[in-house]
Amino acid sequence: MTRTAPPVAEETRTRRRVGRYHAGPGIGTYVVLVIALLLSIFPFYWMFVVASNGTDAINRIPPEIMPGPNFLDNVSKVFERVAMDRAMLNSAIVATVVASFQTFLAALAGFAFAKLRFRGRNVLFVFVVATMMVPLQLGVVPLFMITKELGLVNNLLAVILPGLVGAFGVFWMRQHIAGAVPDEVIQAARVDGASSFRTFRSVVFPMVRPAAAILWLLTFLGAWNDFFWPLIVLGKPESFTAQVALRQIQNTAYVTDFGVDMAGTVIVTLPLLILALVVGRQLIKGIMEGAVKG
Amino acid sequence: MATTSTPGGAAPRTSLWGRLDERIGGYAYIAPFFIVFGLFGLIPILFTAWVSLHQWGALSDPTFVSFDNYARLLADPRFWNAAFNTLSIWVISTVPQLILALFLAHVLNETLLRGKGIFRMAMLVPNITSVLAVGIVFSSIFGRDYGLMNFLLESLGLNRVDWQASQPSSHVAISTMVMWRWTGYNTLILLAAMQAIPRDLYEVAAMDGAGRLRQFFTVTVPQLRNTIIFVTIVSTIGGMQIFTEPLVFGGTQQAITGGAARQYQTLALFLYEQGFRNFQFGYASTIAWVLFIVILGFSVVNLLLTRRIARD
Amino acid sequence: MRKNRVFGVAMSGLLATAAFGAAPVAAQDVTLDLWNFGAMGLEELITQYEAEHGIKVNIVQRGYDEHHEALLTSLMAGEVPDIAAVEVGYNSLFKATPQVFTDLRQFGAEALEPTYLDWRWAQGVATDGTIIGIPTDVGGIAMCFRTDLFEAAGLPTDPDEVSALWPDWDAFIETGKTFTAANTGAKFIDSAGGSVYNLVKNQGTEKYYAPNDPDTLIYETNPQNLKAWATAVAAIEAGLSANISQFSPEWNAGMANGDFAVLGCPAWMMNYIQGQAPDTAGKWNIASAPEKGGNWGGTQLTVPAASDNAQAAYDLIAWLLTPERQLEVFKLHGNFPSTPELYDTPEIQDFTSEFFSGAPVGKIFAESAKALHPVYEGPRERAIDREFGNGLGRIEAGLETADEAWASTLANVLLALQN
Repeated sequence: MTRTAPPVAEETRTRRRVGRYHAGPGIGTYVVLVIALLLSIFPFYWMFVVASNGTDAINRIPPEIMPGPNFLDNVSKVFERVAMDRAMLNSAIVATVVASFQTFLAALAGFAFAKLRFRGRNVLFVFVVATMMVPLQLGVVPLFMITKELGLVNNLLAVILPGLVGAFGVFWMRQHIAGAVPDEVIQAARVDGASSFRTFRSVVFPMVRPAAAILWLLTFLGAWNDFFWPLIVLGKPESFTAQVALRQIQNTAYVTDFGVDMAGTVIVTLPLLILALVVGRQLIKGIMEGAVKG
Repeated sequence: MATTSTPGGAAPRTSLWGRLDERIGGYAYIAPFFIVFGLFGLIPILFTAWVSLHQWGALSDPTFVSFDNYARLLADPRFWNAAFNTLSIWVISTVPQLILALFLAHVLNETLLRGKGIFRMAMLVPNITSVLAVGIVFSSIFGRDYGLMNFLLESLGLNRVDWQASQPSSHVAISTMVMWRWTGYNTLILLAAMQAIPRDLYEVAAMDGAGRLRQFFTVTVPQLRNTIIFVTIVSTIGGMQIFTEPLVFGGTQQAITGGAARQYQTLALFLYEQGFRNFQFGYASTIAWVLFIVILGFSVVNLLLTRRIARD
Repeated sequence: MRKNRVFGVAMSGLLATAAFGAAPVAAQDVTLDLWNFGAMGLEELITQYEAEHGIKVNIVQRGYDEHHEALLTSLMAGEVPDIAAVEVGYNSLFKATPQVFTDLRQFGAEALEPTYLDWRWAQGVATDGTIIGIPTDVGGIAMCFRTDLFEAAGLPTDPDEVSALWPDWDAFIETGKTFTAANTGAKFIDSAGGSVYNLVKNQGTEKYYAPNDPDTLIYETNPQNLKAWATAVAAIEAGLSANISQFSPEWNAGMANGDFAVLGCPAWMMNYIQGQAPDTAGKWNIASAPEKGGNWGGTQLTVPAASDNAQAAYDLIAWLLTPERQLEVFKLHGNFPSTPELYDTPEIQDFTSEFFSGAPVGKIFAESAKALHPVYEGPRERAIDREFGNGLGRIEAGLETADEAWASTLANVLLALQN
C-alpha cells in the first residue's frame, strides 16, 4: 500500500470529517493514556531513584522512592569498575558504522529490487525477506569459529562485519523506493543517459532520504542495544561495547551494588533517551509510515 | 545469454549499454548483501547443520554421530521444558500485549486528542531502551524480599510472591519485561494502520447505526488484518529467541539454567548453556536447527491462523 | 602501601626471588589482562605492583561460572588474558588440556613448590607434570554468626560457647530449631545448599569422584555426600533456611539486613561479608564449624599459553602470591594464605578482626588450614555440584519433596554428564 499524500494533510482531512460524528475524547481516554504514560516512564524514574541512592536505600521496606544524593558517586564507581567511556565510544563506533553501511547498502539493494530488472530478482528478494526468520542463535557457534579463524575475537570488527547488511533494511528501502519513486523518473534519468548508479545517487536516494534516515536510526538503536553476540565474542575490556560493559558492572565483584548497577544503566540509556527527545517525532512518523507500507 | 525482458515491465527504449548497466548494476547492488550475509549468515547456518551431526566439545575434534544429537534432543526433558517455557512466555507476553496495543492505538486514534506528541513519545521510549537495561530494572522491581512489586502487593494486602521460584510467576515477570518494551511500539504500528483505514467505512457503519464499539470490531479489526499478522509474526520471531530477559532476571548464579528447576529456561538459554557453558557444539547446533524449524513452523501456523481469525 | 616484613617468611621469600628474580621485565608499556571471578582481595597489591614496575594491569571480573566459561571460550579462540584465575571446581577441566597454558616450569616455578601447602600446589599441576598455576588462598571452613541475633534468641554469643553448641551437624540443626523457636524475625541460615550442604560435602575425603579417578563417579553412594544432602534436607524441613541463593542480590541484601544469623564461612567469605555488608561491622563473630575441617574453594593463577606477556605475567603472579603478600591480603580482606610457614607466626596467631568482634581469625583459620587434606575434584565437578545445588533449591522453593528432588537431581546429573 503506498501513500503519496503527506500524512499531515491526511490528518487534517480526517479531523474535519470525523468531527461531525462525535465530540472530542472524554476524560476516560485521558485517564487511560496518562496511566499508560506513567507505566512507560516509571522504570526510567526507578532507574534514577536507585542510581541516585544506593543498595541500602533500596533493600529495605518500605523502599526509597525519591531520588537521593549519590548519583555522581555511583557514576564514578561505574567508571572505577569498567572503562565505561571506552565502552560508550566503542558502541558509538559500532552503531555508527553498522547503521551507515546498512542504510547505504540497503538503499542500493532496495533500489535494485524495486527499480532494476534482472533475472531472478523476485526469487532473490523473497530469499532476502525469508532470512529475517532465521534466528541469530542458529549460526552463533560457527559464526564464533569463523570469527576466530579471521582472528577477530575481541575485535570490534567481529560485531561490525556481520551487521553491515540487514534483510530488514533491504526490505524497508525496497518498499519505500517502490512507493515513493515513480518509474517515469527513473526512465527520464535513463533517457538522459545516466548510469544506474548515478540515477540512484542523484535521483532515487534524495527522494527516499527520510526513510533512509529512519532506517539509520533504527539500525543505530539496534546495534547500540545488541547484546547476545557481543557478549560471546567481546571478552577484553578494550573491546567491550556499552551493553557488555553494563553486564560487566553487574557481575563485577561479589558485591552487588544496585546503585552502581543502575548508574551504569542510566549512563548506557541516557544517550538513547536524548536521541529520542531530539528525533523522536520523526522516528515515530517513520515507524508509522513504514508500518503502513509493510 | 539472450535478451530476456522481464514480463510486465514497461520496457523503455534504451541502448544495449543501458540494459547491460541495469542488469549488471542490479546484481552489483544486491551483491554486498549476499556476500556479507553469505559469509556471516548462510555459511554459519549450513555449517551449523554439519556440526549438528557431530559430537564436538571444547578443545577437541569433532566426531561424526549422524542424527544421534537429534534423537537425544527429542528425548531430553530439558529441551521440552525449555520449549514449553518459551511458548508460555511468548503467549503470556504476546496476547495481552496485542490486545493492549489495539486498545491503546484505538484510544490514541481519537482525532481531537490533545497532547498526541507526548503520548506517542511515551509509547516509543520503552522500545529504544536496551533489553539488558530493562532486565536490570525489572529484576530489581521483581525481587523477592525487597522488590518494589512485592512491596506494592503487600501494601494492597496481598501476599508477596517469590517471582523466580515458580514457573507461572517467573513467566509473568519475564513477560512483563517483554510487554513493557514492545506494547508501545506495536501501538504505534497499529495506530498507523488505523489511520490508513478509509473514513468512508466508518461513515457507512455509523449510518447503519453502529456505535463506536461495534465500529471497532466490524471495521477497525478486520481492516487491520495484515498489520496484526505482521505484528504477530515479528513477535513470534522475537519471542522464540527470547534470551536476555530471562538471563538478567536470573541474576548471575542461576541465570543460564533459568532457575533451580529450569523453570524459566528458554530455548535460547538452553542453546547457550549447551554451547557456551558445556561447550557441546554439536548438541547446541542441533538445538539451533530445531529452534529454527520451530520458528518457521510457528510463523506459518501464525500466518494461517491469524488470516482465518481475521477473516471470520 | 607499607610493607610488613615477616620474619618467618624470609626463607621462602629468598626462594621466590631466586626463582624469578633474574628477569624482572623492564618493559615500560606492558599491559597485562587479568581475568578473575569475584574479588580476590589482590586489587591493592596489584595497584602497588603497577606503580613499582611501570606496567598496567587490566582486571576483568565476571560471575563465577561466567568467568570460567569466558576463559574456556578465549582459550579456544586463542585470544587470551595474560593471567587467568582457575577455581578448584573447574580445575580438572582445564588441567585436562595443559597445552593451552604456559608451563610455569619454564620460569622455574617448581622452586616455589615447598612454599605452598602440598595439596594446594598439586591442584595447579597437570598429570603430565605441567605446572599451570600457582595457588592463591585456602578456604578452611568456620561459621560466621550474628551475635545480635543470637543474643535476641537467647543463645550464647561467645565463640567458644557457640562452637560448643554444635559439635556435630545434628546439634547444629538442633541449635537452629532453638533459634527458630525464639522468633527473632530472622532465619537461622541463608540457604541449605550454601551453609550446610557445601560445608558437609567439603569435610569428606572424597566428593563426587573416586580419588584421582576421573572416570569413576561415586556421588550416589559416597556417604559424605549422602550425609551432606540429608543434613541440608533436615535444615530445610526444620524451617531453618531463608532460602536465598548465594551470591544473588537478595543474599547480599539479607546479609546487610540481618535476615539470617549463620553463614558457612570459608576464610574468603570474610572478604565477602565485609565488602557486602560494611554496616554490620561488630555484629558478627566466628565459631568453628560442626565436626571441624573442610576446605571450600581455592584458586590458581594461570598464564594461558597464547599470552604474549608470559614472563611479565608470571613475575606478577609469583610476586603476588609470596607468603608476605598473602599475609597482607589476609589482614586486609580475610583470604587465608596457602603458605603454611606463616601459620605459626605471631602475625597470624595474634591477628584478630575488628569487623568480626575481635575474633582471633588468624588462629581459627590457621587451625582449620592445618587440618585440611587433599580432596580430589574431577573434570565435571562444577556441573555436578550445580545439579545438587539446584536440587536443594527445588526443595527450598517447595517445588519438589526431598525424595523427588534426590531422584530428579540424579537424573539431571546424568543429563549434565552426557555432554
